[in-house]
Amino acid sequence: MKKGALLALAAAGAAAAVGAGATLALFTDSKTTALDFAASTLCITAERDEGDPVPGPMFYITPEQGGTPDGRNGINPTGLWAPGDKHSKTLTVYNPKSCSSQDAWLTSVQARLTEGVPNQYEAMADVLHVAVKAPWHGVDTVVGEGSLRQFLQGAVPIRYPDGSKIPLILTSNVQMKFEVTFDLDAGNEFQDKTLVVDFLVNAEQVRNNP
Amino acid sequence: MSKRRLLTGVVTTAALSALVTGATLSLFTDTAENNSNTFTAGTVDIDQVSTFTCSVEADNLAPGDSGTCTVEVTYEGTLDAWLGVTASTSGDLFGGANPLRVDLPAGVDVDGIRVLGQVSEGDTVVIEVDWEFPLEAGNEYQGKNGQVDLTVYAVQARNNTRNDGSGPISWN
Repeated sequence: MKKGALLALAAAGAAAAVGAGATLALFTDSKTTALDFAASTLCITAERDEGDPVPGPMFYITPEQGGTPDGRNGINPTGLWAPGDKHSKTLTVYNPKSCSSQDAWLTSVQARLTEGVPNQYEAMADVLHVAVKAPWHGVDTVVGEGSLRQFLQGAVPIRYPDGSKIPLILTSNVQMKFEVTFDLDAGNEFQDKTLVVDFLVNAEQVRNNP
Repeated sequence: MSKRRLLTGVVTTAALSALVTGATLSLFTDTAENNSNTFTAGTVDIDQVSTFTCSVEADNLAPGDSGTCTVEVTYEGTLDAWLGVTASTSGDLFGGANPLRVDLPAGVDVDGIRVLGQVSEGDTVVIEVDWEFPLEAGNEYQGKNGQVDLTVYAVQARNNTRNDGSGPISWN
């Protein structure tokens, strides 16, 4: 009878504890594993080439005009333009690992009027023809062209002759050529006139974007 | 319906919803720039053509007179250019059987314009015009007048020079 009384007391105690809101302590364990998401980056850069110090414009009239911000003169000035003149300059476009993490397509080229330049003679954009070239099967090949006006109006698509896109693999570069021709039929109204533009090369991710 | 099928249904609905509401697909892009590319056209500019200077006064001619008159042309264009000249005459001294004769410097004619040569910025060119009033000229010329108008032309040399280098391909 004594043993039966003890069991009854224990059961009553447990019931009282639950009724009073006491917690039960159990042995447990858990593990957490993190899944981190990080978006890639696409970052391309461009510099003129042909031995010119960088940075600086591809096309410039005098060595001083083509100088770098730290005062090194450009070494390939075009001189003043005459109707019929044609000059080709190289723009090396990079996909550097320092800021990029994926392959890119070079998709288009556009131009814009350089800010802060007084007396821009925009009509000159109609008599300057721009041919953009990229290496294709080892030969510099036109991938996009038009009047400078067309480049100022919006992005001009660039594609290889077979319609395929131009790849710029991560850590590699593409040497693009910008060939500009001053229309031989340009009249006297263009004498002593100046137009200053920025050239922009646009890129897109390759992945999931065939 | 299982939990997995339920999830699939939710995702499909979301995708359809995105399409219906006109959502656009976005790609990572970037742009590289090359700034301040300058295109400046040069100039073709005849700065000055002087008045004639003559070795013999030309305002009191007698039959048998001859001489040379010169003009100086100053070129101030920034582009190298071909210089050319034409002469036109008017007045009674240039009519009749024994007119006053005027000769431009010897040279090649391109499109009726006598080529003088190439010039660069700052060059001065002297054009010599020889003239002769024939000894055979008779009284019909007494008191008559005549005038020579010299017109000087310049045209860019670059992209406009004949293969043999003798002159411009075109004057305009």
